[in-house]
Amino acid sequence: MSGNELSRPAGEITVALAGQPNTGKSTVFNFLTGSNQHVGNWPGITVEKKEGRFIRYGISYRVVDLPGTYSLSANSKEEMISRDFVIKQVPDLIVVVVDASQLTRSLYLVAEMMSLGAPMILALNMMDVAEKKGLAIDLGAFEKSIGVPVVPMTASKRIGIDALSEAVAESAEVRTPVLEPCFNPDDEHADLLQSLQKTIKGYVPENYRVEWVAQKLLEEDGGMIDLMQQQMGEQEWRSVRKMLPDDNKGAFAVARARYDWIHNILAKSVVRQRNEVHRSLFDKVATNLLSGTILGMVVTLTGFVLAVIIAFGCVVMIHPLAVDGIQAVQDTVGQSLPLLADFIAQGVIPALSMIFGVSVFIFGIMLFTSFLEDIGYLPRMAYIADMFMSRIGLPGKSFMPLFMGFGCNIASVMGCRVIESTRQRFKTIIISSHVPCPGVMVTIAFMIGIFFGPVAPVIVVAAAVALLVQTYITSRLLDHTVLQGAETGMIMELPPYHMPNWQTIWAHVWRRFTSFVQKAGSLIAFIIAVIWALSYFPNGNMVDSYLAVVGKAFEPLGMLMGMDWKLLTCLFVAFFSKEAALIAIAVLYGIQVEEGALTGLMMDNIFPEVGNDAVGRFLAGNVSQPSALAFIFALLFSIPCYATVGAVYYETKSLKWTIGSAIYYTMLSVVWGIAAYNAGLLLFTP
Amino acid sequence: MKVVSEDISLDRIRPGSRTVIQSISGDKKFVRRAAGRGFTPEAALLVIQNFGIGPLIVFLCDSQVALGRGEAKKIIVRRQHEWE
Repeated sequence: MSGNELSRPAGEITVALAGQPNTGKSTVFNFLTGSNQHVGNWPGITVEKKEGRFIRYGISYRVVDLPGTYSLSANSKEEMISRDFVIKQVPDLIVVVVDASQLTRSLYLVAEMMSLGAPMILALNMMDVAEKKGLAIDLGAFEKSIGVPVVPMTASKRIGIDALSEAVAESAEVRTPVLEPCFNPDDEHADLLQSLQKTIKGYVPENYRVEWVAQKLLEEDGGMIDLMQQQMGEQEWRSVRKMLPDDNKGAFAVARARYDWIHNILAKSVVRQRNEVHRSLFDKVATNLLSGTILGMVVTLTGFVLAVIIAFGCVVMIHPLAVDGIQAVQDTVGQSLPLLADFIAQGVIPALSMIFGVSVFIFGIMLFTSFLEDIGYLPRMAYIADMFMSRIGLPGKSFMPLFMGFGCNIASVMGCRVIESTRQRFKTIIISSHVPCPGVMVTIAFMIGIFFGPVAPVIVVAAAVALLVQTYITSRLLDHTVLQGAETGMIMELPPYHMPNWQTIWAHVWRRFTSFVQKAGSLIAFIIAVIWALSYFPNGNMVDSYLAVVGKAFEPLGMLMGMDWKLLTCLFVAFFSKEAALIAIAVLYGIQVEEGALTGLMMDNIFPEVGNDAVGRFLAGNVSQPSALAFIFALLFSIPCYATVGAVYYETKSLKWTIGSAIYYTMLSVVWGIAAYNAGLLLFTP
Repeated sequence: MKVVSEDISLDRIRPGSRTVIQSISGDKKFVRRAAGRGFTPEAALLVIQNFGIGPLIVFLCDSQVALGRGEAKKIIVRRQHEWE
């Protein structure tokens, strides 16, 4: 037995919760375990792992939520996790959640899970939807032909939760191993399966079921082939290899046999069924080429504007509080502990009030996205968006998160969670930083206005084109390097529409949000402290701070982009926040003479002053047009702000990806900066 | 009445038509993903939506599935004409 058996607390029973996407598995999980949940990650893998507990008759049950997958092949990390957990961690019981209104599809995972042989019960969810669809199931016949206990339920209305925990308690005690489902491939493949089983019998590792391994080999499952090759050694493996068909026929035969098994069960147990496909008017509108595109745009914009308005309102509300707070700190400890007072007044409070506004926006977007996903509209929008997004190698589901990047890049990074495929999600996360956030747009608009008045529209168009081209390049670059072999192409279920289940939506969003604040929060706090210190010490103001020293040190690099140390330092500052770059310009070019660290100046509302004509003229006299152009493009492609980097880390759980993307963006920034400078020299030199 | 059948790719099937899959080509990953979702030879499906550009919507195994156009091209189905 594996070592995990021993580490299990005495008296605790492990239940694995499996199910395909859109079967209401998370609702079942939430109601079953209540608030007793813990979210972590599968070891070494960037897939979220949810665990919960419930107690029945004095016994504690640990419920492990397996990733929602359609099957158990080696197609994705999620599927590998599910099957490895069932095989290696040996849960006492598997609960498979099944959508009663879409039985054929959702029983497929059951067929696969049963081949693994672990004790199992079925949660037959969404009984209400099935009923509405005119489907009647003879539960007795269903249970008998499928061979495992079945609990009918409507989790969204809390119906059947108690019966499920009762059934879990019962079955976990008995632990009846599941019999192999009646699995009858066509004759040719049935024989092949037999001889495969005979050949591999002595080599199958502990806990693996020979029948299942043989099925997987027949499917030419990559993971299983590797494992058995290792187990058998080259010599023995060759005889197996020779048996395997190399034309996908095995994979089809196995899938076909599973579906035959399902059809068999349904033939015996489905009493009444309406066969036509019902599509509501809304569905037709939502998936129509023209109206679907318009609806998608309107819905996305509505969510965006709502979140912006609410976030802005919150910031306006809290601003006086922040100003009072700063005053209070200065009054109380300003004299006795000036360093602490400065840190709080110029570092902590301004950063907190900025983060507060951003947080409200992100939370709003998460809530909105979760709502759209829950009611079933999001996949329809993704279906429409796929037409456009697939041209740059992105999935349809990336549209919504990418668009939210115009409000805040963190919202897009967090929003990428709706993309099921890990590789596609990572790709969208990396690409989302190409979307210019308001901070970038304000700063760039200001620079363009000052330096390129008459030709401003040309620069704006050039910037937009550059962004699109670079997005395409980044996408293709990822495809051909780190994401090679990523699954592309769309096979996406369009689940039935549901009434929103606010409890599940709220629980999901709140859990993710608080966990983000906790985890990314510490990283963000650390970076704030570093930025403040760099822009404060040694003399308490930015012009001769360490930050400026760093800028000066990198001046040779800056010269390639036509930037002196001042502009370069402003570019560094953009890592803190894109708007801050604007303030840094004002400070470093001596326009704004106020003393203090960068973070503090952000509170002082110097934007109006920065925007006035005199400032513009002053700046235009000190910086050349090619240099300004270089600054604009370097900023456009610069590394996202620290909070977004924190979000990238939180979402990828990978230091490699986080640092890698940061380096990639820094390089892009330099390359575009140099290119823009040289283009500027050609175009704007008198 | 004469029935003539021909095998064409799924992306050329009009919406509203029921059809039966003949074969599926493509890389291993795609084929396995598709098979798990019910796209196997002999499986019957209904094309719900096909604009001639962009992804299709098909109905099979009790559920509606959006299928990329490139993916639909890899699925060969049988079309039947009826001649009076």
